[in-house]
Amino acid sequence: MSADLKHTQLADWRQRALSFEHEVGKAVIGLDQPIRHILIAVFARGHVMLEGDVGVGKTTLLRAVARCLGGAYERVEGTIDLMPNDLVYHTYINELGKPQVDPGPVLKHGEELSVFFFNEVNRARPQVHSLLLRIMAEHAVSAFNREHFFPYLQVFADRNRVEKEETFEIPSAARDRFMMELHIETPADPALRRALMFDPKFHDADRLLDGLTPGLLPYREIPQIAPVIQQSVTASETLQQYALDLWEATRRPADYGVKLDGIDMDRLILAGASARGVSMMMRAARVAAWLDGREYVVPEDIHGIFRETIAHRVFFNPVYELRRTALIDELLDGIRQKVAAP
Amino acid sequence: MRKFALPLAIILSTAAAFALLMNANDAAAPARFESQDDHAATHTMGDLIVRDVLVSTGPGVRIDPASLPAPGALSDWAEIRKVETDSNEEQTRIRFTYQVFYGLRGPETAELPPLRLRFEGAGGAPDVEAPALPVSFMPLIPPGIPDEKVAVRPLRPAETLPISPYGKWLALSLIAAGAGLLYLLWMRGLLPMFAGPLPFRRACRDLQRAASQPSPGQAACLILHRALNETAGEAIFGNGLESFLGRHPQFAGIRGELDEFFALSRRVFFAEDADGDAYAHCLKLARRARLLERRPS
Repeated sequence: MSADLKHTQLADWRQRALSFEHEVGKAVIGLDQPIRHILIAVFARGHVMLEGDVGVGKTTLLRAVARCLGGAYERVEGTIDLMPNDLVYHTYINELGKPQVDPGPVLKHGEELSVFFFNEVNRARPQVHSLLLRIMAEHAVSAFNREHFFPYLQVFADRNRVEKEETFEIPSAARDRFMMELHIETPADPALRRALMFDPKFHDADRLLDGLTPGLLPYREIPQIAPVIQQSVTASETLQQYALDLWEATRRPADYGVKLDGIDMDRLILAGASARGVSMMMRAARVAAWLDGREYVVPEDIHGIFRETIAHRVFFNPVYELRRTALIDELLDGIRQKVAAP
Repeated sequence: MRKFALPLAIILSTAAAFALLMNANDAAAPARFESQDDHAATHTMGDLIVRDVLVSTGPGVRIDPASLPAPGALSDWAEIRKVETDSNEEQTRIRFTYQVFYGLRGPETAELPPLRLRFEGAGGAPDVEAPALPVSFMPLIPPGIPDEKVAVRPLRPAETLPISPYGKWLALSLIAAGAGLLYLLWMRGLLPMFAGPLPFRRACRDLQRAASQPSPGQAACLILHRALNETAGEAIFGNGLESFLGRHPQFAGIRGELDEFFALSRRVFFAEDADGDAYAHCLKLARRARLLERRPS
């Protein structure tokens, strides 16, 4: 592919991506940042975990994304009695009185499955997490004596942060497979809150979603364009050094002069960001640069996805883990402030 | 002649024995006794009276400390404050310091009691008795003044203690405390005169040196970034410029130049364009910023 053709192709795709972003924004208001992050994850081929209070629009957001993305969409509710097989096949007695085995939500659409939404994933057992882990990592699952592949699959999971009873915390290895963890909050703007309360448009989610233009992004082509974006957007030597410093600072923040009130910085970190994590961070940063119309990454691209790609990959010592929500933001802000580029 | 030999021998031996006995007594007995009383003709209440008793002694004779009176009250009007002895081979000096409290309204006469001192030594030694010491007192209050007209003498001022032995330590302590205080102030950045040049002033100086580097534009951008970061106390990026200007409004006048600088830096460091006129731009911006910067209040 010639450079000009590639340039034109990327410009076309960027317009599509921005149209997609605009269209999804019609269904969910006040979530511009999460929509941009999901768009980045789509083109960086990363899975996304959503976390937020009940009724803040997580499901509507994902249904809007699935509709505008096109392809098959499946949704599973996490429950304590859900078993891995429930994702793969479904057994029942058919109308002829004979036992029948049908493909489950993962296999039902074959390789056309583009969005798989696992609602309340922390209610499912670790066995289910393991299956999900493999699907996310390999885009494949073994069933009925063969491998099933899902080349276009993108997994979204939702974790309810309010209820903790009868839940199973997702292991760090599984969390590391998610490119991003997004916090979905109720919009702070009073005008948006008023619209959510009083505008009838937002009272019927199904009708709202039906109004969105479906299939704005040709999902089958995303796996091909994603690597082109990664190859086309450059990271200079200075930027690479900056990203390395950020990574190192997540492991040894004290070395970079990061201090948090009342925290022994030498004991805070149990494990910093993983190599996979920072690799995903840079993939996301490249996509962010592309969406911003640049062919090179700048530190601000990393800042835009730093928290979303790194926060769930930094683990505190148990004594500090209970204060994680407050500390992780302070830590990442401190790192951003202390690490300079150039 | 022969018949006088025996009586003569008896007489001579008796004389010799007497002489030896006398010599022995001479060695044990004080050869001289002096009382050197340093007292004026009259004293007033509260006076200190020093009395020296000088006893001539022979070798090996020393005063029995138990025979010395202990400091303390001697009578209703006198007390011994101090007893000091000083001995050598020939004499012993005993110094008694009395304080007397007598003679309020009229002249009085009294006696400090006699002292009996015992000596120890080979062959024994007789006790030495210092006689009583008469003391005359001048009245504290002149006669004829009624009680209500008696003026109380002001309190004696506090005795001045010499501080010269402590002067050196005092000076050292003050120097150490001053150095510690300066160190703390310096650590907290409260000593602007020792804080070195301000960031943009230093940047201007560094930019002069950077002119000869292979990539002066890139080096200049780096110097200016460091000056900005140092001024802000954190890493400043293009999207943080507004926040920076909010905290450092003195630079608001060069907002445009700063915007251009961040765009330029982005091209040089991240788009990897040629640095072109970056050096000139940075030098101009650093000079303008130098005029605007001031020490944090």
